[in-house]
Amino acid sequence: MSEQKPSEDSSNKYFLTLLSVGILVVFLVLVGGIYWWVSQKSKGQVVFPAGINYTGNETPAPSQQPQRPQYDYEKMAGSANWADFTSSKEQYTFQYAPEMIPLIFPGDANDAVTFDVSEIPAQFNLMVLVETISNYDPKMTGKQEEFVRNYWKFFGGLKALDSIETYETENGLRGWKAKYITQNDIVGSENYFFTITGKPDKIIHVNNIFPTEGQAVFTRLLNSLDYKK
Amino acid sequence: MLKKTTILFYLTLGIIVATISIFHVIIAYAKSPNGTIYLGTGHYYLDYYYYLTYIAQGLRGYFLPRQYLATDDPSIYYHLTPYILLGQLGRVFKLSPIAVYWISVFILLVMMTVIIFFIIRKLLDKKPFFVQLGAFLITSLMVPFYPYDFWASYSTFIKRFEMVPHHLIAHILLLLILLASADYLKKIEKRKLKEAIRVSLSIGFVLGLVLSFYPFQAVLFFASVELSSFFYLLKFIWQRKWKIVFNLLFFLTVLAGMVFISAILVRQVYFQTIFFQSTKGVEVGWREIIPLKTFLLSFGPGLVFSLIGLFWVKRLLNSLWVSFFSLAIVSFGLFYSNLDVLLGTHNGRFLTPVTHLILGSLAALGMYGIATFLKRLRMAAFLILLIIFIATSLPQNIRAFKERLNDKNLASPISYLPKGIIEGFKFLGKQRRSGNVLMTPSQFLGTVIPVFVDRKTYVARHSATPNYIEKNIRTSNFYLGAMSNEQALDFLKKNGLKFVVLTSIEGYDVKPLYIYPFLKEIYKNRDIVIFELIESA
Repeated sequence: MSEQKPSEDSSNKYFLTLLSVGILVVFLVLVGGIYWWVSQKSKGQVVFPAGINYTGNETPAPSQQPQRPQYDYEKMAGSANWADFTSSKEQYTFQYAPEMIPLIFPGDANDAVTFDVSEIPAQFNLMVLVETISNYDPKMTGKQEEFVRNYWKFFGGLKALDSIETYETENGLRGWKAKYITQNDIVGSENYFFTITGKPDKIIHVNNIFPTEGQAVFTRLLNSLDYKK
Repeated sequence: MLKKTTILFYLTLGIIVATISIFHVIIAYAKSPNGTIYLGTGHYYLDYYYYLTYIAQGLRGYFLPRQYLATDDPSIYYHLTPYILLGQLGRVFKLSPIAVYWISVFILLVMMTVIIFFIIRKLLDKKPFFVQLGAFLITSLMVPFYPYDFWASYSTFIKRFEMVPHHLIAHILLLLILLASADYLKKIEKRKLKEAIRVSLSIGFVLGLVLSFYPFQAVLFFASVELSSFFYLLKFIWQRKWKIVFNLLFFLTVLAGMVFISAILVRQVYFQTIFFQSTKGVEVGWREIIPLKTFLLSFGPGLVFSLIGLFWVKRLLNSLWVSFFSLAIVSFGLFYSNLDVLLGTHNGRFLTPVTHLILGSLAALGMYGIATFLKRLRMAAFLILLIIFIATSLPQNIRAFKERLNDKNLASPISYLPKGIIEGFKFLGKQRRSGNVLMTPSQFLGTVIPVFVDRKTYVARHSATPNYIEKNIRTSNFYLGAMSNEQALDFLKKNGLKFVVLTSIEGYDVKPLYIYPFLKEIYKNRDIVIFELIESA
C-alpha cells in the first residue's frame, strides 16, 4: 500500500483555513440562533419541592396549616389494588395503598421515602431509608447487629436500646426489630433493620411511623419490602 | 512546529467539541425563568456547588482549600487545590465562580480536543489527513450497540468529554505523560542514564501531582507507563542489550519509587479527610462488574472496525501505539480486578475516555484498509463508510444529549434561584463581622451559600458535613422553634453561628425566628431574611 504524507501546499493551506473559519462561523451562528430561539420561546418554570413561603413580612398573617389526609386504614389494609413503589435510586421496592402518596426527597443520599401519616412533619419522620453504616462508624461495616444495637448512640435524642429481636418478613428479608429509649424515657416505635446480601456497609432501615389504627397497613407494606438483588 | 493553518483547524475542532459539550448549560441558561438566576448546574449539582466553593475561595485570594461545609471540620482539602488555582486565575480577570468554572471547562475541553487530535495524527502519521480526521470523528462519536451500555461507561460523546475541571486537567496531564514516555521509549537505544533520570523524575513528578487530586486515574496511567516500558524491557532482554535493560530498569524503578512516595503522602492528606471517609462507602457501593458481553458491545461498531484495523496496525507500530495499547489493557484489566475495593472506590474509576482514542484510530485504520481494496476510489469509499458510521451513531448521541438536558441531577430544584436570594447572599458576603452561617437543610442551600459568602455553614450535604443527619435534625428543630430560647442560643454559640438565613424556597415558617430574642433582622426582601446574633446575647 503506498501512502502519501498529508500535503500542506499553499492551495491546501488556503482550503483548510477557509474550511476552518467557515465551519466555525456556521457552527457559532447555529449555536447563537438556538440560544436566541430557546430564550424567546421556552422560558422555564421553577417548581420548588418545598413550596414558596413568604419571608418578607415580620408579622405574617397566620397561614392555614395544610390538613393531614385522613385515611381509612381498615379499608386500605384489605384493598386489592396496592401499587408498587420503587425507591429513587432503585435500591428497594414495596407495595402501598394508592390512597397514600409516597414522599421522596430529591438528591437524598439515603434514598428515603415516607408517608404523611403522623403528627410529626414528614421530613423528620422517614419510613424507609438505606443507611450507610460507615457514615456512622466505619468500624461497624459488616457488623450489622452491632450497628443496630448501637444505633441510638448516633442520635442525641436517644439514650439507650430498649429491646432487640431477630425478625424475618414474609418476603424473606432477615434482620432485627429494635426499640430505643428517648431522652424523655419514652420507648419509641419499632425500628426494623434488614441486611442486604453482598453489601456489608448498607442496611435497610424501616421505621414504624403508622398510628395504631394503621398497623395492619404497615405490616402488609413491611412484608412486601424487597431490595434490588 | 505546527503551522498556523493547522493550529486554526485544531482550534476549530476544539471549539466545536467544547461548545457541544456545554450546550446543555447554554440551553438551560436560555431557559432561565424570569426573576431567577441560573447557577450553571451542568454537572451533578451538589458536587458542582462543592467545586464552586473552592473556586470562590481562590477568587477571594486563599491558597489553601478550606472545608466550608461544616463548622467543626478544620481540614484543609488539598485535593481541591486545582479549584483554588482556577479561582486565583479568575481573580485576575475579576470573574464570578460560575464563570470561572465554565470558562475553565471550555478552555480545558479545547485543549483536550487539540491534544487528542494531535495524538491521533501521530498515531496515523503515515496516513492521509482525511483518515486522521475520520479517526478523530470516530473517537468522538462512537456509540454502543443499543442497548448494551452501563453507568460508568464513556459510551457516547456527551459522556466522553466530562465537564469537571479537575478531571480534564488530569486527563490533559496524563495524555502528556503518555506522550513523554512514548517519546522516551521511541529512542531508548540512544538514551543515556541521565535521560532516564530526567524523564522518570519529570513523569513521576506529574503523576504525583495528578495523584494528589485525581488519584485513581493516575494509578491507571502509571500502570500503563510501567507496562509499556516492561514490553520494551522484555524485548531488550531477549536481544541481550544489557545497557538498555539497565536504563529501562532504572527508569521503571525511579518512576515507581516516586509514585510510591507520592501515594503515601496522598494517603496521609487525602484518604484521612472526612470527605473521603464519608464518601468511600458510597463510592464502593457503585462497584459494578459488567458482563463481558455488555462491556465489549458498549464500544459499538467502532470496536468491530478496530478489530479489522489490527490487520493494518503492524506497519505503524511504534512506542506511542504500544503506550496506548498498554493503557487499554491496564484499564480493562483493572476494571475487572479487585483493586478498587482495596483503594476504597469503584471499578468504573479505572475506565478512561482516552481508550476511545486508540479504538477510534484503529477503527479508521480498519475502514481505510477496507477502502483500499477499491484502489483509486479508496478516498470515496472511506468517506462513505465514515458517513454511514457517523449517521448511525447520531440517534444514540442525540438521545444521550436529550437525557442530559432532562437530567434531574443537573436541572436540580436549586438550579435557578430567585434573584432576591442571591442579593441576600451578596449582602451577607459584605458583612464584616466574622462567624459561621446557618441555613436549613431543606434544599441543600448550605452547599450554595459558601460560593457567595466567605463563611462556613453548619449543615450542607451528607458526604461533606460530618454527622449530617444529627445536624440536619438539630437545625430543623432550631428553625421550627422546637428548642427553648436557652437551647437555641447555646446551639448558635457552640457552633460559632453568627448569622441565620431563611429563604422563600425552603418551606419553613419565618415566625419562630422572630420569637428568638437574641436574633436581630439585618436584611430582608421577599425571597430571603437574614438575622444576626445580637453581640450581647
